[in-house]
Amino acid sequence: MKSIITIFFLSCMFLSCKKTFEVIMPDSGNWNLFNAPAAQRLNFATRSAMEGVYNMTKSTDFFGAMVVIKWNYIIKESDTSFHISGFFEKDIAYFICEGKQLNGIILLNGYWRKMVSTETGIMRLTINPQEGAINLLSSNPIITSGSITINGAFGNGHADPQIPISFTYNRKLNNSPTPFQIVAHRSGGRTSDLLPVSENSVEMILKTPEFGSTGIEIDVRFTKDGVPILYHDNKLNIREIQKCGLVGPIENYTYEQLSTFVRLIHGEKIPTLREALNAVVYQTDLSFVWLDTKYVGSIAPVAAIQEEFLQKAAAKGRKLDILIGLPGKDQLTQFLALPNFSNTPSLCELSVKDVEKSNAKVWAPRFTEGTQNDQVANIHALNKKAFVWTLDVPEFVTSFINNGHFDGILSNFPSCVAYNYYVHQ
Amino acid sequence: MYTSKRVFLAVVLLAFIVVNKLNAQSNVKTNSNVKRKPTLLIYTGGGLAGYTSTFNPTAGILNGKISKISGVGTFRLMWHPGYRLRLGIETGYTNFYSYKVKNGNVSGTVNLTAIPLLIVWSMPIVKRVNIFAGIGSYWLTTHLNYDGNVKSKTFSLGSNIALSYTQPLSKTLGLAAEVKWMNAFETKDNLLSLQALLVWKVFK
Repeated sequence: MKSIITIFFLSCMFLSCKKTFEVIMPDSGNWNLFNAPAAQRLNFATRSAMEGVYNMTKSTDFFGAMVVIKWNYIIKESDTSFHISGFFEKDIAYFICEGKQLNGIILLNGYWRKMVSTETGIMRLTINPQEGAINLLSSNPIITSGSITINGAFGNGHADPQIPISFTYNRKLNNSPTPFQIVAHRSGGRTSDLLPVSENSVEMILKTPEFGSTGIEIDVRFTKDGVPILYHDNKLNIREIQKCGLVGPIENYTYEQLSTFVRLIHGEKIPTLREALNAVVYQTDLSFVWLDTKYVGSIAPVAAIQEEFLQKAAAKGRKLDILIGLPGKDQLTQFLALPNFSNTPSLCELSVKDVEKSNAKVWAPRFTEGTQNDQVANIHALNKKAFVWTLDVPEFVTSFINNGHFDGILSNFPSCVAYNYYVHQ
Repeated sequence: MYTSKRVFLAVVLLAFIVVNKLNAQSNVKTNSNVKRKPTLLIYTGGGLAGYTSTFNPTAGILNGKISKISGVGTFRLMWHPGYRLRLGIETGYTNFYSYKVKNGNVSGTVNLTAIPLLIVWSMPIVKRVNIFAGIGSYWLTTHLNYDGNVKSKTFSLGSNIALSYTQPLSKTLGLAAEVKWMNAFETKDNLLSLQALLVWKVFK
C-alpha cells in the first residue's frame, strides 16, 4: 500500500505540468463574395474616411461599448498590402481585416483575437450602400456621426461566423496636435502572447502596424563575430527559439552559425539589425525605433548603422526617429565615449540629469514611477520628449493616457494603447 | 510535453506491474521493528538511452538522420538511514541527441550533452526493488562543429525517476538493472534509459 501511495504521489508531482496554451489562427479565406473576381480594392479616400471611433450596437457584452477603426499598410516587393484594424474596448480585443468593394458594398474579411485569452475566430463585415457605402465610395466622402454602420458576424475558431456584430460611426480619431507614439515592445509583442509571428523578427515588424503601432522597440545584441542582431534574452532558449541543440549565450555563436541552425518560434531567422531597419524604412510607415541595447560594449557600431538608416529614411522622404536606448549606467558610459554623442539621437531610461548629460531626445522612465507630471513638464521644457514603459494593464494604460502627459507608451499590447489613445478626447 | 508524459506514464505503469508482481510472489514478511543500520551505497554504471522529447529542427538543412540513441552513465551516492526513505546525490553523463548538417559545401555536427546534478530520494518498494526520484539541474553543453568549433553551456532545472532491481553478488556488492527517465524540464529535453549499475555498500 505504501509503495502504491508513493508511486501515486510521484505521479501527481511529475504530471502536474503547466498546461500548454495555443492560439490557432482561423482561416478566413473561403468567403466567396470577398474572393469574387469583380471585388476591387478600396481607394485611399474610402479608407481614410472609414477611420474613426464607432459605437458598438451588437456584441457589446463580448467586445465592449466602442471600437476604434484604423487602416495600416506594409509594402511587400512592388505591392502594398492594406489592412483595417479594429481595437475594441474589452479584453484587449482587436480585429484585422482586408477590405474590398463589390457592387457598391464594402466587404471586410479577417479575424478577431482577444489578447487576454486564446479566443480567436473569423470576422466578416459589410457596409451596405444605404448604410454608408455610397458615401464612402464617392470621390469626396463626408462622414458625420451615424453616417456609417458596419454589420457582420464573427465566429469562434475556424467556425463560420454566426454571432452578429454591428457598430456605427461616432466621431473622428483623437488627433492631438502633439504627436503620440504607440511603441510596440520586442518589435510588436511577445512570442509568449501567442502571436502568429515571433518577437524581434522582421515578420513581426511587418505585422505590428496591424496592432496600431506607430513605432517599435527592438533588442540589440552582438554575435561572436560582431554582427548586431535582434534577440531579447541573454541565452538561447526554447521561449524564443525552436529546439535546435544550440544552448548558452548568443554571443558564443557566429552569425553564420545562428543563421544556419537557429529559427525563432514561428520559423523565422534571427534578423540582423540591418535587416530589421531595412524593413522599417522600406516596408512600413513606422516613425519611431527604439534600439534597446542589451549588451555592454561599444555603442559605435550601432550608432553607425543608426546614422546610415536615418540617412536612408531621409532620402526616401520618411520622417523616422531611430534612437539608441540607454537602459543602464554601463550603456550610458559607452554612449558618452562616442565622439559625437550629443548629436547621436538617444533615449535615456535613467535620471533627468543623465538625459541632460547625454543630450538624449527622450526620457523613458518605467511606469511604476507613476505619471510624474512635474518631471515630464521639466523634460518638455528642455524641448525633449518623455515615454513610459512597459504598460500592459488596460486600466494603467487608460490612466496614463487620461492623467499623464507622456509623448509615447511602450507596450506589449499596442492595440490597447491605440484604443485608449484614439478614443481620448 | 505529451511525449514526456507518455514516457513517464510508461515508467509508472512498469513500476506498478513490477510492484504488484513481486508483492504477489514475495513470502518474506518484513518486521518494521527491526533496527536497520545506516549504510552508504555507491551506484555506478551505464547503459543505453533514447531521447523521448519532440525534436524536429526546421532549419531545412539536415543531412541524414538525427541520432537520438546514445550511451548514458550514472554515478549515485545514497545514504541509507535506519528507515525507508533514503537520500543521496546523483550525477552522470549523457548525450541527448546529435545531428549532422550540410549547407552547400559546408558540413557540420551538433551534439547536445547533459550532466545531471540531482538530489535523489529512494525507497524500497519490495525486496530488492527500489524507486528513485530526483530533482535538481542538468548542465547542458552544445558541441558545435560548423564555421568553427563552439562549446556552449547552460543549465536547466530538471528531475528524474528510476526503478531498479538489485541482485546481491556478495555482502558488499550488488548488480542493479535500472530503468530511468531523465527530464530537463526547463529545456524540454528528456530521455529514457536502461542501465546496469554496480552497487557497492561502502560502509555499514
